[in-house]
Amino acid sequence: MKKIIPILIYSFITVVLFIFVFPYAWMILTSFKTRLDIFTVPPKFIFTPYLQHYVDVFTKGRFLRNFLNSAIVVTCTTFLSVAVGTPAAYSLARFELLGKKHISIWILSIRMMPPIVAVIPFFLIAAKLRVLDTHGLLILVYMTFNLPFVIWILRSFFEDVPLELEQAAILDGYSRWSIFTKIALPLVKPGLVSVTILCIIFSWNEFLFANVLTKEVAQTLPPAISVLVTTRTLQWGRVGALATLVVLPIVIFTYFIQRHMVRGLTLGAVKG
Amino acid sequence: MGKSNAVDKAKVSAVEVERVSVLFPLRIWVKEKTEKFGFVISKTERRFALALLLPAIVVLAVVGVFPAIYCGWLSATNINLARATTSFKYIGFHNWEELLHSPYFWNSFGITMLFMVVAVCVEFALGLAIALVFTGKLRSKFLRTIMLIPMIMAPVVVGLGFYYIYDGFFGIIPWAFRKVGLLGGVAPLGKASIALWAVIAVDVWQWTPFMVLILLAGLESLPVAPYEAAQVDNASRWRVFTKITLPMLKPVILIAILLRVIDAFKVFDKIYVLTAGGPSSATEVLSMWTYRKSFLLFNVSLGATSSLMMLYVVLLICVLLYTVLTMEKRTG
Amino acid sequence: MRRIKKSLLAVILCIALVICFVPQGTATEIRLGDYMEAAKVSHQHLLEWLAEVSKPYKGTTIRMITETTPPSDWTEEAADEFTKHTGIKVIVERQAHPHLQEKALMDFSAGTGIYDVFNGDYSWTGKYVEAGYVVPLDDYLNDPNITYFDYFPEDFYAGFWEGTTWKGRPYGLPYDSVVQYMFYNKADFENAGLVDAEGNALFPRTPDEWLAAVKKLHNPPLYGTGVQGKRHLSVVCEYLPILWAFDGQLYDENYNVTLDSEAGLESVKFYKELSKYAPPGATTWTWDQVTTGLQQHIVAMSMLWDENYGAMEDPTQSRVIGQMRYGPVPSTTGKAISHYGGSSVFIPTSSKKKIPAYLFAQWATSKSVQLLGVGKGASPTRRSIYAIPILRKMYPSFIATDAAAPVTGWRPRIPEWDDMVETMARELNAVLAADKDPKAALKVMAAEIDKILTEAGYK
Repeated sequence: MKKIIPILIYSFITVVLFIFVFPYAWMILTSFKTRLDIFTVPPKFIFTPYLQHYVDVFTKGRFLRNFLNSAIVVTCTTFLSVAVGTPAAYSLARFELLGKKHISIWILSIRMMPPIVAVIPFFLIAAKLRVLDTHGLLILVYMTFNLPFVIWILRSFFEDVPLELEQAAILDGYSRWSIFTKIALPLVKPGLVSVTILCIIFSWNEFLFANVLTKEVAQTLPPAISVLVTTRTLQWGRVGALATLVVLPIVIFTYFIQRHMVRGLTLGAVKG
Repeated sequence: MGKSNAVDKAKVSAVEVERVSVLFPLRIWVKEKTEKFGFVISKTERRFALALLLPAIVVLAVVGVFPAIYCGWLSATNINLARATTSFKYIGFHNWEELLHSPYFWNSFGITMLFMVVAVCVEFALGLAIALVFTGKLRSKFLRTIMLIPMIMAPVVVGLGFYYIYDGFFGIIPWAFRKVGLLGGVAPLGKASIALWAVIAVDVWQWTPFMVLILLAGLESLPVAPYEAAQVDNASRWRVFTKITLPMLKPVILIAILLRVIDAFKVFDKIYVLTAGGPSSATEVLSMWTYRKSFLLFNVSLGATSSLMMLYVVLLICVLLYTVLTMEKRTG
Repeated sequence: MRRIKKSLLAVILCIALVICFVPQGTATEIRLGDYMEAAKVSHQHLLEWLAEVSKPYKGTTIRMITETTPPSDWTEEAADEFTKHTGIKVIVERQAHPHLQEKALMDFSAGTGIYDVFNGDYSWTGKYVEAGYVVPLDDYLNDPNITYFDYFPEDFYAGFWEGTTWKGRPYGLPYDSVVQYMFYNKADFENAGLVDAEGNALFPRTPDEWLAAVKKLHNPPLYGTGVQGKRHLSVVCEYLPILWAFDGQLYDENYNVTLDSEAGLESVKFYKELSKYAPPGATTWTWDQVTTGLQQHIVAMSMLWDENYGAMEDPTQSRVIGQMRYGPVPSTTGKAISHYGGSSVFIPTSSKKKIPAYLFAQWATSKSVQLLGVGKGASPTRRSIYAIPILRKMYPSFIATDAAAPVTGWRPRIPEWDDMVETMARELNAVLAADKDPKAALKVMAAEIDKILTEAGYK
């Protein structure tokens, strides 16, 4: 009996992992099938690979452009969110300000705001100001969820920095600003890594804002995929190829930094 | 002259006494508050704190508060994008009336609640079970990455992937069901009675790893001492689980559930791509209903009203979440 | 004497031989190649004229928003040539049906001027004109400086032209003929024994025959029919011809709702019965999936839009090349039923490049461009193209469209149409996918349509 248990456990683990990886793997497989192969019943598992869909993605459609747009928007919004959010997080962690509780709830609620609430106002105002379909607009709008997120996570990291270090620094005559930059900041590096990664992932995957606020010049990847699906005769091959390409950078990325993700995802509730 | 001096002096000192007696309680209060952090809040420090905080508050006011206010304004008008927007009128609470009396709104509300409750419960149960089995076993980076894949995929991509997998004719799941003889090979997204469960299944697929990872991290960071004590006491596995593990895990569980509840409430991308509301409203969650009203029927004022309603619900849950988070920090 | 007779016989024989072997009828049977050559020549003239007229607009970029339909494919492919000759760059943005309106309306209502050419469904005419979002084109058409002398607008089918006319003024140039009628797989009919005395496929002429044919053809994995059952404009579009086939109407000339009549009930019941012979998941299908279904030989027949004729003959994907035949929707009254769902190109009021946009719209709806696009996605809107014999032979759907276009049925064009679609799509989908009682669904539809019409002030 005792010998069976490890086998059961490992087969359970295998099954679970298989279920989690299957849809993505199936999508990758589909992207290599010819159109006729995709439309066969029963589904084919063995077939000759067909690269035309990937070629199509790069030649027809605007993959490189969309990719670039996604990259630009994601980098800038993450950078800005971290730059603005880190000092704010420190401020909330260290200083006892009046109304701190209300500010904190307010910040959390903005993070949790359903995007549908913000879409219409942003669209109408952006239209009036003639900034629709620009990178800047998306960068600003994405701070709706990135900035509160950064503040919230880093606050918990800052609170973990031992007070004695900072008190000692005060006695040594350091200015508040140097304490922040030279002592507190380096100690929350894992937190910074965490939030940067998660901001990148959230922004990369965002759909609703990008779909409504961008069209051509600044269109990012997720809306580009959804357009393909609604086209004639369901171009699954190309959708599969594009989807694979969109998710791949994130997967590779995740492989290297996954240790930091959990803390970020749980809003700092679970340490390590 | 001397007399007035004395009086003046007395006046001054009286004022000083007064000042002190008024400020004294304030000083004590501030001292108590700052003793927690051991910092004295001087004016320069307060200024510093505010300076650090201000840019964030400004940005958040623009991207967070402004849309909510604009929605509030919109909900009091009858603006409809299909009519020239220059000619609109204020209709007060008419939109709210229409919203609260609309059976379709409440249907969406109910479906969203159902989705939320079922999805989160299943994710929690499965997540806990898997986490318990995985404890201490998932060391390899590669395997952990696999666990993360569902969560890091864009919801749009997840929706599309499952749209193909569920396809009544070419999808692999109906084919497998037909092979096994289950359900007569019906297309999961085509029948109203099944569609919602099919969509919940997609959400479960995407977010159970989230539960697993949180619970796993929680489990792996539990102190060893109580377990050793339990071993000495020769307690059964079940008792160990219910009396030691669960209570210690409670804060983590609560946070995980609350986070998922909020995200499940907001769900949109997947639904949009999978069913766009459904066979006949079976999967029309609130976000979808609001989107439909605003962008397919152009009744942005009604859509704004519905958005505000959603915002209130989310705010409520946020207050709950905040309370749990701070409670956990104080005791943890 | 004998020698003369012999030589005379020889001569007659020779003449007979010559007559037999020289190709006959070369005067009447012009090959497609010849038509195309002629089209190319007139096309050249059009391009030269365009080059002249567009000189002041060289270097501008215009943007067209259009539906993800085959004609848009052709326009996008051919647009490079337009740019080459005029210097006007064209961006063709393609969106699926509901998103097309979303994006367009957002642009027009905000006045942002993103789109310069709008491929709009004719049933939106009322809505967009009343809101002031599109400009009338009569002034443009009467200006010889910007209208090609041989543009020939009388060539458009009258119904298509009137579809985008509102209160006497034209607002759209018919771009995409989209007539809905029956697509039949001839081979399946013949295999199932649904043939006439000569062995040719016999297509149904009444709804009863229709249902009987579907039942006979239904032989999984080949399904009897496809159904555009999604909660989408598609289900409403498919239902309307069935309603008309039973001699029903949505509402009469005085805007009194007549949907919940006998005809209404019969038609909904019929539609529900029909859907039982459709593949699983057909309640999530729009015209796209029905096209795939027919093309991949999953269904034996279905109601579909004529613009998908190309997919049936596509050599790279189709499994039914040469097997498709077309005909009107079978009705109880003997009238040939079909449903017009075509679109025209409008010029938005908010566009800042109206003249270059108009030049492009003209080019896209010109005879030569539509003719050159046949088989490459174009669904022409001009009578003269459908009359070409060789095309009628190559594409049997042309015969059906030509017959249907003059008498095709219209859906309402009033601004409230979209609200009615929302109600009807929801209820019809509920009947098909959620087993809702047809009578109850009809009641809800009729009540809501009545409310919509009353609140809008029509009665």
